[in-house]
Amino acid sequence: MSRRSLTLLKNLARNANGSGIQTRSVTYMPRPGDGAPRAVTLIPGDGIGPLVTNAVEQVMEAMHAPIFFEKYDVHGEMSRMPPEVMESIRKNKVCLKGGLKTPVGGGVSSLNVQLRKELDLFASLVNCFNLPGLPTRHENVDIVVIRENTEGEYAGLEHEVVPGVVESLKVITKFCSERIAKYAFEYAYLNNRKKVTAVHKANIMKLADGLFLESCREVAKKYPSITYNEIIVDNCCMQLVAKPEQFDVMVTPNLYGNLVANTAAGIAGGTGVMPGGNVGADHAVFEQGASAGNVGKDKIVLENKANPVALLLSSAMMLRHLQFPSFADRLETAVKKVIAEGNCRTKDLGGTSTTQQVVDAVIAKLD
Amino acid sequence: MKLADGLFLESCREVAKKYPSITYNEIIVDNCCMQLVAKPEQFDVMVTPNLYGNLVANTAAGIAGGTGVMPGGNVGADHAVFEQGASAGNVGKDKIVLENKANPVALLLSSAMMLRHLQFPSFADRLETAVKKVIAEGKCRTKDLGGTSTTQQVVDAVIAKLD
Repeated sequence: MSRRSLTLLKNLARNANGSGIQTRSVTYMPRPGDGAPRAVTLIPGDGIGPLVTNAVEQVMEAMHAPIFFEKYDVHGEMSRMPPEVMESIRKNKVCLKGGLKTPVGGGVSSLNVQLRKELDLFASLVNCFNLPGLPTRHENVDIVVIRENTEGEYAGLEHEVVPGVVESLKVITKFCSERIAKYAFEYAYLNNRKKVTAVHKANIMKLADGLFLESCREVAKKYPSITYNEIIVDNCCMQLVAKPEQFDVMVTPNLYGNLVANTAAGIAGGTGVMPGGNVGADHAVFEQGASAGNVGKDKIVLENKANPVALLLSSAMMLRHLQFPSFADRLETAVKKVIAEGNCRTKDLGGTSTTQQVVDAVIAKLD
Repeated sequence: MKLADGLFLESCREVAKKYPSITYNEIIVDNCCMQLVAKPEQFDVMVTPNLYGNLVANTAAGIAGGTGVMPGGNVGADHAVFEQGASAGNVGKDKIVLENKANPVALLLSSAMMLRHLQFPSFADRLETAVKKVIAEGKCRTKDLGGTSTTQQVVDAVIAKLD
């Protein structure tokens, strides 16, 4: 054998043994200037928000990610989002946030909802999947819930007809239903997903949910290679807890999406670990996947025991959205290693670690 | 839904005051779905508006064993209608009908509820005990519970266990 082919063989053998979890795929070739740091608006929020957003800041710093944060102080009691924050998001196009406290009952409307409406972030996406090392009752769960984020039961249109009788309007439009259906199928197509399931209750809400379904069917015709089916929301809840592996991508109107996403998140490991984001035509806001408005119990805040995993994985989604795939991969791999090892977990996953301990473990595992 | 669900909550709070020995609390429906799949033991009685109740009942039924076994009923001031607990409107797949493999447990337990409603408690107890024994033994179960029995086989087993 010639000397050269011996060297080549030795190289092949070395690579085949595998150095680390990933083998390198064909490389991503950036355009000149792609490495210029991007500005991202950061809203720490209330409750556990500052803890988990700070976790992301630390990890980004450790990776020297091409991101810099413009931080703004916003709290749930404010009546509106401050205009300078909105301007910053419009300029940067991307935002990362913790939860903003929503007052229950009459009074100020939720700032989380206001933000989504003002920026027209019409699609909310939550990815619920089993994490290696975190066993749950069901295996092979990998569900993406794509939820219409602007209308439906959250139209905010309520009035008291006579004292003691309230009417609440659920508004469904062809425009919004079509665009969420298009987003769901486009997402499935771009991410090589096989099936899209529409969740509805058109047997009862024949016009509203019927319109939603029609829009989904229209869009489905344009994607013949993607399986499309429909499921009534009550049966859907039951199927989620009995056989979640049957679901792939789910497209839903606003309220059902909220409930399905939370149920799926609980099934796959809990809201402390599921990533998600909201996207519109021009902007994207990344936050914890399910229960994004949840600011956590005071006790968790005091003891610094909030789970940063969900927001860390959401920030990995954000890095991919900003087209920094290798940073996203590094972050995601480090987080998954920490979860798989199992000795550094916050209370919601059955451990006793603090947020900072988890952050340190993730940073230690970064390559 | 501050006005609509707010009104519902106000009404619940008013009534709760009259039952000081019963603990009353409130939970937002999305957190509720998550808690149901994570820690269902924390819940006892749940009172809900129409749609949330549909979804919560189906989720809870799935958690606890499936819609094939949970009993339920509907009641008004003057009448009562008993039917399968969750997914009551679900008429099942044609295949199950053809093969006679429908699970009768849910409706049997609902009829036990009906017997109690009619104030025939000992009949209700006998029926319920027989059904529970059949389930516990595990030999005679329909497909939704992981077995291969037909509806008639389950019925025969229940009748055999009646005392």
